[in-house]
Amino acid sequence: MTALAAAVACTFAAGAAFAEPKTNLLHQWATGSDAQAIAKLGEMFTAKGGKWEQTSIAGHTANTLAKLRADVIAGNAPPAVQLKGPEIAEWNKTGMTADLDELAASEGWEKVVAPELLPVMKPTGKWVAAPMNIHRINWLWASPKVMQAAGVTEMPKTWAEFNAACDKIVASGKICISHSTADWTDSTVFEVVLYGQDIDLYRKAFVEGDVESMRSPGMVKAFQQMRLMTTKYMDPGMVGRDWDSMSALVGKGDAAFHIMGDWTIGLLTAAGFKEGTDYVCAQAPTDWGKPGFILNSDSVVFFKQKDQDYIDGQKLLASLILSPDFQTVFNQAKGSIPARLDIDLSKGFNPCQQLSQKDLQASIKDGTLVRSMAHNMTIPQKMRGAIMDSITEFVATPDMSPEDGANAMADAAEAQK
Amino acid sequence: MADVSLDQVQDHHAATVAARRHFLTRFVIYGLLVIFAAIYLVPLLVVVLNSFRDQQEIARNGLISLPRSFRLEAWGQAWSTYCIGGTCEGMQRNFYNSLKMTIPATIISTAVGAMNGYILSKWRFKGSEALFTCMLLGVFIPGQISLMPWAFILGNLGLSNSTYGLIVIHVIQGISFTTLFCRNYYVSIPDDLIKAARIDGAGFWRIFRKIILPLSSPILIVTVIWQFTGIWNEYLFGVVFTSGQQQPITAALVALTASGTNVRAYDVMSAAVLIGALPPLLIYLFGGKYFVRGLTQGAIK
Repeated sequence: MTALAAAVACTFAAGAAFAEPKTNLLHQWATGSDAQAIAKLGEMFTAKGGKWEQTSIAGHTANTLAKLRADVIAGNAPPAVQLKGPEIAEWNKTGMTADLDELAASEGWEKVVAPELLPVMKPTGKWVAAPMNIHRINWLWASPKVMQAAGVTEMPKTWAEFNAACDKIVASGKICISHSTADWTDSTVFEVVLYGQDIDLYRKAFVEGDVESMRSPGMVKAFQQMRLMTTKYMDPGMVGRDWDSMSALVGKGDAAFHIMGDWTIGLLTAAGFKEGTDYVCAQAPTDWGKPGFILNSDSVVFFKQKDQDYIDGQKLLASLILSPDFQTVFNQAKGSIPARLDIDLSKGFNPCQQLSQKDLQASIKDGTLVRSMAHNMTIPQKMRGAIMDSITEFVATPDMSPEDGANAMADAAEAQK
Repeated sequence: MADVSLDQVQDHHAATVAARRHFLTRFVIYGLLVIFAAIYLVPLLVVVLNSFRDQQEIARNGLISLPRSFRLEAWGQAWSTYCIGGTCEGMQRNFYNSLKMTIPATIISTAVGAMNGYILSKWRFKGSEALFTCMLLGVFIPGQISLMPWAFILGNLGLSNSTYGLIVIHVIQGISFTTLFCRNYYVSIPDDLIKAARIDGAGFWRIFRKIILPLSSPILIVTVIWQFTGIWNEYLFGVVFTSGQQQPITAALVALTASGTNVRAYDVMSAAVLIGALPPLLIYLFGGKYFVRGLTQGAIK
């Protein structure tokens, strides 16, 4: 039965007499390949005898939350909603989230899901959400052509090496870092810098939201590196550039490096660039010499339902989301990797995705895996917004000193406490 | 082109001077018009060209550059296969939603407006002027103010998340405009005509059918164009009161462009925007000349 036929059946079915699992997923994957992946989830749900409905919200988390609040106030909380880190914890506090512990135990989720995701999916020790994917934020995308022409022989591993490479590239007349300035892009680069310089400070400031640590010398050092990058290594064209044309600059050989999450793979592939010849990927520089991983994950959280059909539907949907089959399809479409660590990526995945999985395992072993602040996986939205605004202001104000940058960030975060 | 030097002017007849000056003025006016038209049309040209370019080529060379590829696929994808609003059936459903909403809402609001205009101008009663003033207030109320009341009303009528709900909104919001247009137009029809008809025994409906309607075509065309484009292009109510497959085309287009960190298919977006702009454009092409005429002339000229 195709999705269309199911939709038609839904429209005309006058309340089926027999019980069947039902669901309605509220999500933001409204267009393009994302939507294709969700359509696939719907097909799988229907194939298992369920009645699939979905509501897609265009745009960002704020729109989803607005709709969600309206639904909850109206007394019909949706059975399944796409939400991220802090929001899951907040809704969990209301006591309205469903308990998936039984299913999690029977399917052995604990053993296969990446450990850093467990506190997010189980804010108070009970499973309330199912992770769909793992995005890696700390990627360094590079143009082998530009590097070669400038005499940079290998991917920089530390920030000192990175700066040395950039000096050579700028001297050869190319842009060193392809960037487009916006709050989330600036913050992505900044968190990668801070993490690479001082992982403990990253945890304290960006995971725990400790205000005093934002005034520390370590934070000033990160702002210094950021200032060096924005003034010397990025081009003036970063103002007003579309975010999705950043990666093409690397692919075309106009810029050497690009620091961004792994959805970049999707953009590069869409522009017809090939891994290995047009671009290569590596972990962004770290000064502490271990594999590192900044993680971002999309997940679906479940709300308590009265109707048994919807309760059955939740179990079916959660089980499908964590199934190897769906995790594979969804992540091939998105450029991320499965949230399960036991899936073989050797077929149908890009080499960068395979590297992502390898580094993820290694970072778990070395205890260097962290969640992303810029991509809404750690601190509450209000504080995150304030911190991101302060970073963007620093990028946009060339004569603001790194000390002032660090203090401004701390003040902004403190005001949101 | 026309180099007018002063010494030439002196030994020529005044007529040629005038002709020349006339030509020069014309030349400058048309030159400026062409320049402004170009400025106005370039963005549209970019969109049209992008709808025929290959996605890969756009990603490589940027949005604004001359096409190096030509394909029609984007139009087909935009119409029937691209994923918008969580389903992968293109924008055809939203296009039909918009038609299903706009056509009835336009017809009903125009008909009610013509009736109101007829009564308020030819069958005045005590307080009819005050009533007209109250109806006029509707012209000045921004949609945002009426969002919450509408949400409440649609919820109670059971019409939320449906095209019918939007029809109700647009009919009621549109009545103040259509009434204003028609009433002001009918005022200029001489009252003697109506009186003569009444002496001949024609009643309320007959006068409307036989006298008023035949004279109404200019203003009805204006009202239809005004309502159709207004309702077709309306975004706020469409996005607030419907979701997913029920959404009109404006809401679907916005959903298509908001893609988070997904790849943006500029070729499909461009084609979708152009498809979405076609109906009002056609209405203007066919009725444009009546639009200006209807707004500027009275009924009896």
